[in-house]
Amino acid sequence: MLLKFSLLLFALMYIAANAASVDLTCRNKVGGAWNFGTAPSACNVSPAANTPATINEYASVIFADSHTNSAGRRAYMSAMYPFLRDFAIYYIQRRNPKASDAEVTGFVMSIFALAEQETLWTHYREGTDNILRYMRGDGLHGHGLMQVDDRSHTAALKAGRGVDLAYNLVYGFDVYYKGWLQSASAKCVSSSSNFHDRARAAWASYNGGPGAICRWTKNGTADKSYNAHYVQKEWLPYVSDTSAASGINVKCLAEGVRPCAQR
Amino acid sequence: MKRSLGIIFFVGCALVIIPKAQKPAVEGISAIVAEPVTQLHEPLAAQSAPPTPRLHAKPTSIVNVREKIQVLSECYESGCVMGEGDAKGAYFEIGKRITTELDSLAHTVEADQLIDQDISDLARQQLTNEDGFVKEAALKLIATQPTSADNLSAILKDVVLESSDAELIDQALLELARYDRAGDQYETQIALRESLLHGSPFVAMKIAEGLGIILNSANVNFFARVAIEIEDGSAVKAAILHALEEFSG
Repeated sequence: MLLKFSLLLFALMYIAANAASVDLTCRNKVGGAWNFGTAPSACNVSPAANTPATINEYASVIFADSHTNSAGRRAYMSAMYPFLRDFAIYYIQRRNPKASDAEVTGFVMSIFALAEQETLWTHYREGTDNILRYMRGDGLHGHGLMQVDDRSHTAALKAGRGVDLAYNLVYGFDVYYKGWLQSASAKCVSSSSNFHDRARAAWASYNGGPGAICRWTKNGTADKSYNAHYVQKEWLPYVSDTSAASGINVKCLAEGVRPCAQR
Repeated sequence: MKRSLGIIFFVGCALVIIPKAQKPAVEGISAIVAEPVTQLHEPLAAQSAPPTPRLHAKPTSIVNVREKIQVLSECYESGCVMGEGDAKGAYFEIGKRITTELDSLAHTVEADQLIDQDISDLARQQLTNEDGFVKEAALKLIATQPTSADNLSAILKDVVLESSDAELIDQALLELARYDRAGDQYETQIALRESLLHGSPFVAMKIAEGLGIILNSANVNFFARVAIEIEDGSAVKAAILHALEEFSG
């Protein structure tokens, strides 16, 4: 009886300790080519997150490293597109229920371009060794699709905001949305309804900090690259049906409820 | 740009109070100048003995930190601080240095029990910084000072309403709980409601989870109505209802 109680106590202490602080060390780093779904570095999801639970929630948006051909990328992007679209719509409508249809569309487009610029829409990858990993960039400082940086967002990342895709998106959107709001009145944006300019300003702010919101007017390499993605929409040829439903419960995931897959 | 100009104006005002010629060279943060600041406080002689631990002087620690932060803040645009690697590196490095300055000042302020309007001014100024670590240090600093309408507005605007950093919310709620005047509580309720309904999902969740600190007999019905405004099945709603149940016993 005493042993059982001790084991239970130990288990509870272990869970509490792990819930309080996620280990950000990169384990089992693998490489990969820059392409939709893959990037030059990815690290184990575990122990930062529970692998079976992650697969249960996100099965359709996990890139399989065993299918790096164009069919594999199309399957991945065809699932990621509605997920990212619905997530962006949920987010902006929560923050601003009065947002016009044009703003919602502009915001979604800006997120698509951001996802390409930051990580080529890459987050989860199932390796050929069957290990589930997630995207790391910027010298391993950047976590996940939104590249949440551990030099500034340590507390959030240690709370698990980097590895879980929905957490990663919400956390990144929170930072990005601030720039999106500021872009409406930025001196370098012709009008608040010019959503192309606003996207460029908001991404410059996301990338270089709020002081960089008008950096894009100088046409630096990174800002030119973002704009090229925005204009050319290179993701579209990989998406089989842009009107398809996601099938993932975006609202449930965004609110931090787990599990969501069966709801 | 607005932030930098604000700090320049702010420091300019301070230099009127303490002429530059009288300032010592940069010193440790514990250095104190026994120079009365009669504009802000009663003279020491007017107080009853024994002397209170609060120093009615303009400490150089405040002036020094303020000047250092002004210089660092200008680096956001001038690029005078280099960071690690990419564009974000410099931004993070500046925030790190500002945080260090604010933490040092908070330590001195707590140790010496300093109360000075300039401390609140500096804390409010840095609450507008987008860097979460800077905001956290500014919140710690503002908590060392008496409550004020300006401080309350700054916390509500720059942490509860406009920040998306959920990690700051527990600290902010503790600070907001110090404001017990009816007008202050009303202002707080309105801001919390807005954030619960339309703020960052993480911030909303944190507020809902920590609502017990804020709940009292005067506002419990207000937050019960906020819960009704949120759709069923929401985790935020469930957390508010839980806090209300706990409050009702």
